[in-house]
Order: sequence, then structure tokens, then C-alpha cells
Amino acid sequence: MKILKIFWKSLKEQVRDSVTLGLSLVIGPFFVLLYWLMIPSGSTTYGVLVQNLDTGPQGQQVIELLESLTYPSGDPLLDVSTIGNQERAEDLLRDREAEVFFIIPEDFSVTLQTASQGGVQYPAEVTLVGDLTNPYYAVGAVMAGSVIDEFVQVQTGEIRPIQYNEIALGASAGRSEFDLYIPGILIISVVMLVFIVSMTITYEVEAGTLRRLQMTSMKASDLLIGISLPTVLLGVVSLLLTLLVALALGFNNQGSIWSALLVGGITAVAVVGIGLIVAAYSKSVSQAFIIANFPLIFFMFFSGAVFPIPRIILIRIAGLNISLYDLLPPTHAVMALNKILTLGSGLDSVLYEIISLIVLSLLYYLIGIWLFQRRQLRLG
Amino acid sequence: MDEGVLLQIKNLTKSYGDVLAVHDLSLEIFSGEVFGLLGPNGAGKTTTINLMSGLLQPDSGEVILRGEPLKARDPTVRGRIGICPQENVLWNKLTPYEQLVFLGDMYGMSPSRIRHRCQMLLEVLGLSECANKITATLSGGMRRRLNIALALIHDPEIIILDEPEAGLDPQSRISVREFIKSLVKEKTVILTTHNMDEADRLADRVAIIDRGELLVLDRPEALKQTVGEGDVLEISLKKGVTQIEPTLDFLGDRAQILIVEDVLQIRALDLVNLLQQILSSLHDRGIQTGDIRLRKNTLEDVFIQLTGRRLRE
Repeated sequence: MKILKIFWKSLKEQVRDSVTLGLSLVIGPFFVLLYWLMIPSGSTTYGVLVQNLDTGPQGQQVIELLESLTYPSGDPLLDVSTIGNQERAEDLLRDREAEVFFIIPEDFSVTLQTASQGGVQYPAEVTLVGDLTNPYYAVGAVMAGSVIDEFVQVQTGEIRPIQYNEIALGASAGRSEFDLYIPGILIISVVMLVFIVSMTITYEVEAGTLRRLQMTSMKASDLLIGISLPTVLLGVVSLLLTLLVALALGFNNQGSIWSALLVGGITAVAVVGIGLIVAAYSKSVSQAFIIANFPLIFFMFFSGAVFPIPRIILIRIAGLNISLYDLLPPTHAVMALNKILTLGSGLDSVLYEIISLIVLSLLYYLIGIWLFQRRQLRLG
Repeated sequence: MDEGVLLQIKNLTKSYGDVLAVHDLSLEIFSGEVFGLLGPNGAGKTTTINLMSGLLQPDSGEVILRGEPLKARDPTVRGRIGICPQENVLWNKLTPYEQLVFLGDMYGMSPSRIRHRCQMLLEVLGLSECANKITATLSGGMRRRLNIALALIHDPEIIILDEPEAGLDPQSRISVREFIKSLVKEKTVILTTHNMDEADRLADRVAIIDRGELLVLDRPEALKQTVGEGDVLEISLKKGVTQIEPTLDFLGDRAQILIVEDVLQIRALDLVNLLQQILSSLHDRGIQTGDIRLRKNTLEDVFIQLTGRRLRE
């Protein structure tokens, strides 16, 4: 069977190209290691600076409360430092050494005591200073603000008309930030294969071996399927390696690894499709490398693999909002892996994502085959 | 059609945009002969062989193989033609043995036949010792010979060799030349080259093409005779000398005189005895001369006579 022979030949070539193969397989685990090093405790600790001008004891009590705030894992949520100089504090904010700076006023304790006795006094003014362009500012400010708010409520005996009741989905309450990044990185490890697949296929064009094969009784479909299969296999291996490294570094997996590998395998089909599209427009391996960067960046940044993105709704079908990014297979792959690995969902719960992923992957693959046949396999 | 005719090309034309690569080319190739397609770079040789092998679709005209019109990429043609391209077309990460087996598989050959052909080709082309080495590590000569082996793995009836000696070291050149000669009895070999010596030594018949058109087709000896009898004396001249006749008028009808790219060519019988007189006449007229060479007629002379240009460019 010719497909099998081409599969083995392509697999041998990929395995023997140890540098390209090694880089392709290492990139996922490397990202995992990088995130783990960036967030050693598993989640971000937000830097909070406090200048305590309070003449009474309650300012200090607030600081102790801020310091005691932890994640469910016991890791500190806030890194609190007291500071006596506002200018120094602002320098630290500018350098992003801290996210938020609180100034507790002189009359903080007096105001709370007066309020607790039913008296009326002008509110004590707690000042927040921060760089609003720092994405961590809002989180740090909200976290610290909530603590101060609650402290005030307890001290004054004030009863709020509304209480919030937070229910965590699945096992999300116990998830660290590191855990949340892993599904995206797993998909990146598969998407990165766009380089190896587009370069492998373009090599056949550049070296002239494609013409040589055209002289044989091999069919175009034999070649394209035979070349695609090792990449799909490589995609699954790459995802598995990345997942194993993540698990070794403390990733808290809630779902089935087999389901994750299935998602990776289907995503790899889409990646092969993109690789074929790139190869259809490339005359040399170096050209393929350059062109492959475009879909790679698109897949990485617009699929939600790196960070969440706002949904631009295109149409609504049967109650489902279809956004622009839903046309990218990795979007559904990241969603599916989030549900499987973070929330512990089974395949039945990610049926929509899996079907969307299969349909889009096949569509990309067929477009890739069509374009490659049209541009590289047609007679001159 | 003559019974011995294997491949017939009729009024073949192919152009790439505004460039006419092959123009109204017609020729016949006989079974069992070595047919040389001689012409300078860009003459249309590679396009012609791509058309012959069905890798290119002609704009007009047809190729007839054993009386049957050949359609581009016709599956029946694939097993009958083996093409060895000018550049080495190899899978660098595979070994020579793996490449031959893989290509044999793609031709749909049986495993035992593939094994037999591999062994034979590796041995004959001197590749047995490097059969299991990664191709990227092989020398230029070995890679060239592997390129030829790949064209022959399926035991084709017609073998097309595009510039087979290009880039070969002298030792490899001899071994390739010997191998091509060994094929002659059983196969039809079509050889494209811009090397007149290669065509002269190997080809039974030679077609000289230029700018996509057939200039002449015949046996090398017959072609060389059309240029004239005798040897050729070549004398390098100082740049810019274009007129020489009055100086050598004493030669009369005994000689043909040409100046091509600052080289004076005199073709005549008994040139050795005339040499002293020719050089004296040139010096008397103040014409400075450089290298002097006496040689036999070559196919290049035929090309020069037909086009006024040398073959090498």
C-alpha cells in the first residue's frame, strides 16, 4: 500500500532531521517550563504597597488581613509591603515592582470607631495609586479593596442589603493560574508543527522529488495522505510530551488524557491542512518557513491559546453564537481541552467543540489538498 | 511509420509566457539507439525531454510512443520512461538503498524485483559500499550516480539522461560513460547535453537544437563531415580583429576561414605544412596572435557553422 510506504519514508525523514524534530517537540514542554518558572507558586502573587498614616490600631489590622490572604493552595495572594514614602512607592509602581499602592489615612481608626458607635463623620479617604495600563493593577486593587471593604463592614457592624454567593464550576476553585494556561500551551505544541509539515512538503517541491514521484504510478492522494500521517502522529506525541511535563511540574489534571490526545490529533489534521496551504504557495523551504509564521501567529493569538480574546459574533445559528475566531480550529481545541482538563468534562460534554473541530480540520485539510494539487501538482 | 521508430515527436511547440522554449520540433528516435540532444544552455533541451516524458503538456504537436499518442502524465508511460534530471533529485535523509526501494514501491514493483534491481544498480554504479549511508553525506559523484540509479530502478524501456556528466569528477565521468554504453544493447537512451565531446563519444545520432528549433539531425561523423574535410587550426587573435581574408588569400579554395569570439579558425587539408606560412602572413600584416591549436572537427564546429556562436553559452 503506497500510503503506508510514503508514511514510513516521511517518518524516517522527520526522525532523521533531529534538529527540526527536536525543536518541534521541545517547544511545548519549554513553554510549560517557562510558565512554571514565571509563576513558581502556581498563581500570580500581586504586589501591594501600603503607607499606613493611621494614628489608631486598625490600619495595622488591615495590613495584617491583607497579608493573610491566600489561594486555596495556601500560597499568598498578595505580597504586602509597608512603605513610608509616596514617591518611592510610585517609582516601584512605574517599574512594575508592585501593582497597587494604598494610603491609609490618619483618621482611619477614628472614623471606624465613630461609625461603630452610630455617629456620623466625613468618610475617611483610602487612596489607591496604580498604573492603569498594568493588567495586574485591576486584580490587585479589587482583591485588596474587597479585604478593606469587608474589614470596614465587620468593624462598623454595617449590614449590607446584598450578599454575593460564589459557586465555582467543576474543580475550578482549586485551579492555579499555571493550571489554566496548560490547555492553551498544549494546543500551541500542536500548532507549532505547521513549520515542520509545511517545510517537509515544500522540500519535495524544492528538491524536485515531487516531479520524480509524479513519474511513478503513485496518486497525488497517496502522497498527501502519506506525508500527513506522520505529522498527525507527531502532533499527538508533542501534546503528550507537553502534558507529561506539565503533570511533572504540578499540573492538576481533572480529565481524561486519552480525550486530550484525541483533541490534539484532530487539531493536527487542521495543522497539516494549513501546512499544505503554505506549501502550495512556497517554492523553497525557507519561503515556507517565512509564510508559516502568519498562520502560526493567527492560531496562537486569535484562538485563545495564549490569552482570552473578545468574541466578535458573526452569526447566530440554532441559539449558538458563531464568532470570527470560531472559524479557527484551535479555538475549539482550546475550549475542549479547558473543559476536559480543567473542569473534568467527558467527551459527551465537549461534543459541540469536537464536532466543530472535526468539521473545520477536514475543511482546512481539503482546502490544503486542493490548493496544493492545483499549484504544485498540475502540469506546466 | 518505420518499424524501428520508438518515439516520434511531431510539430511540438511549448512556450512559457512570451518565451518560446520549443518551436515546431519534429524528430524520430529509434529503438536501441543512443540519441543525443545537443544544444547550448536555454536551447530547449530540458523542455523537450519533459514533453517527451509526459511531465509537460505541449501547446501543440504530439509525442507518439510505439505508435500510440502519449498523453501528458499517462500512467502507461510512467513505467516505460526513466528520467534522470540535470540536478540531483534525491531524498537527502534516506540512504541510497532506501531511496531505490521507496521509488520501486511507488512504481508498484514486487519486493523481490525491487531487491534484485537495487542490488544490480548499486553494484554496477559503484554504490554498494555506500548503500546504507545517509545520502546527504555522499560525495558529489556518488550522488550523481544515485540520481541515475533512481531513473533506472523500474527498468524502463527509454532512459532520458539530462546532462548526465555535468558536475562529475573525471573518474565518475568515465564510470557513468561506461554505464551508459552498457545500456545500449537493451535500452533506448536519450541524452541531452551541451558537451559536444559527450555527445560525440556516446550518441549514435545527434540532433542539434537552438532556441527551441531543430537545426540538424544525423550521425556525429556525418554531421562533422558537413563542416568540411581536414583538420581545424585555431589561432587566438588580439581582441577586435574581425577581418583576415586578404592576409590569407593564398589559401584560396583550399580552406574555410572563420573568426568566432576572437579565435581564427582555419579548416583545410594538410594544415601542418601550411602552418608556418599562415603564421608568417599574419605577422607580416601586424596581426598579433596568441595560443595555437590544431584539432579534428567536432560537433561544436557544426554548431558554429550553423549559428555563428559557440555551444558553451
